[in-house]
Amino acid sequence: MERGASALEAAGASPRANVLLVLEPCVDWMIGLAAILRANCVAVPMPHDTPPDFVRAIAAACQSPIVVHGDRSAPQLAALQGITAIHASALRSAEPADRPASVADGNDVAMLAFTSGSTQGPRAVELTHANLLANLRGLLAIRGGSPDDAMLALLPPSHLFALVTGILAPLACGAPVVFPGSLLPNRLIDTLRDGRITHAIAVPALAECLYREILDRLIDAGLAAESLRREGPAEARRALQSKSDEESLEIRNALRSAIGPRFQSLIVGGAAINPDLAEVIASVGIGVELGYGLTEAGPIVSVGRVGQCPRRSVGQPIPGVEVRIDAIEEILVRSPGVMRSYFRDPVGTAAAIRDGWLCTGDRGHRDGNGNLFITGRIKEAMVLASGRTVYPEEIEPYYASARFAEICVAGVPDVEGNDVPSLFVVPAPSVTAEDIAAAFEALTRAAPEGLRVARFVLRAAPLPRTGSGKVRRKAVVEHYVRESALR
Amino acid sequence: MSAADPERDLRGVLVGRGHDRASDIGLDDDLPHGLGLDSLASLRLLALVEKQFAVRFPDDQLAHYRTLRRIMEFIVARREESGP
Repeated sequence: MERGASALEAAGASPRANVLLVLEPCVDWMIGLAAILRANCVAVPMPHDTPPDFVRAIAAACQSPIVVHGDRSAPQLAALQGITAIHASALRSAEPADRPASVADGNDVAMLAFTSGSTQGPRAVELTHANLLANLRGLLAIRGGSPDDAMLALLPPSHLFALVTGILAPLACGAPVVFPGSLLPNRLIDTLRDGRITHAIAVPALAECLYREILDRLIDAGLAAESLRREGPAEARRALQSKSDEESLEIRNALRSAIGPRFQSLIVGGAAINPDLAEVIASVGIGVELGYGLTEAGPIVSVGRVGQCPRRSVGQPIPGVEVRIDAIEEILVRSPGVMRSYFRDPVGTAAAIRDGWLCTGDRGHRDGNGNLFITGRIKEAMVLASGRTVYPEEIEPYYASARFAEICVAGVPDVEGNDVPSLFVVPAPSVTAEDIAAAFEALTRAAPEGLRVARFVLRAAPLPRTGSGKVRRKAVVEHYVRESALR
Repeated sequence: MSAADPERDLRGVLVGRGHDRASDIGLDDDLPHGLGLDSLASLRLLALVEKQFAVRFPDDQLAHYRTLRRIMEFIVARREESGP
């Protein structure tokens, strides 16, 4: 850590400077973070495969000419002009400084977390050391671990939930963190067993991927019906319930020989999980932890365990976090983990934090026991099943065509409540549906991965707009959902 | 996998797991796109190939194996390395 801090100072990083951390999940990622914080700089974590023009835009936005990178992110960063790139391995080999580095206090910013990878007005959340520590302490107060645990970190630590839950929490308990070589599900299952893993953290889509891999093995071993391959988890759950005690035991034994005897819990976050999937995993003796959070809250708001909290609930607020539901059913959060502000955005900050309460932009309610339920979104940001957040304004520029009179992008909720980005199109005069479809296909192919829309919806009526001409995306979605329900 | 027709074997495995369009997709077509797979489903497909053909793709080059031809050539090369 001291070596890393002195390497950063030598590269010109002054205290409180922003330093980009763009490398694949590995031990060096953690060394990079520790070095940045030890030098009292601000870490700006980004996925290792962030396109170079996004890295450049973010570096410019936060006036950060220093990027810590790894092997996989090296080629794309080498081409960037005016940026000092430091390979993470250099942080380990520098001579430690003989004088103490500038030391951060709790109110110093530790991290700038970008909530989208857009070049159009990227928005970053400023989290202080105190914010992060408060959130970590709240989590550990109810979900403590021990040095005997081992965490398989399946999500990139540039995602704040992954960093706090998958890395900082186990390290604070003295438990090792294992990074996977790849996300191939067959190898992940082997890693669970061979790495003597006790906990793993995943987004719902990855949890389903692991579930499918295990189901495949059970089918291959003759312990589950071939037909389940094509069925959803609800069918599998029913099939499991109908098994005799002896058959259930056989299935659990087969499962344990695949994943090992030590594996306890799958922690699912980043997006909402299909409750049937959560329950089928829990029904074979694997704990499933779920919850709710957002980067602005530092990030964890609530945590629950499948089987111990009601179906579709996201559990109860962790210690130190207060949750309130306001008159329009928006979920409000107050805690020492809530961000100080958005980076250089006083207007956005004032809109998000009112009287000390963070307006989450999510709609929900609580039951008599305090369990929290998410029922929809008030904000226009879309939260995908992959755990990523995307703003309509990031995608819309890629869908400009003379065949479209008007367009907007908005999230249509799927059965789990995650957003499916959808393009609403009002066709230009005398343009056919086929022409629209062809244009949509071509634009989708040309759009960057991650900013593509899954489907388009034709609209005859003009898009509803506010007095100032802004499209009312929520009204578009509500109209569509209402019409779909009638069909 | 029979040495005679690795392509048929590979297509057969994919179709057997419900990827019906694998029977007539072009050798150089993009598989995830052609079969309608998202990134995790693409990984499941490679996992299936690893298990069925007892091979191991290099961790940092998974994105390279996006066509039937590349996957097939990889399987055949591994087979030749390990001898008859």
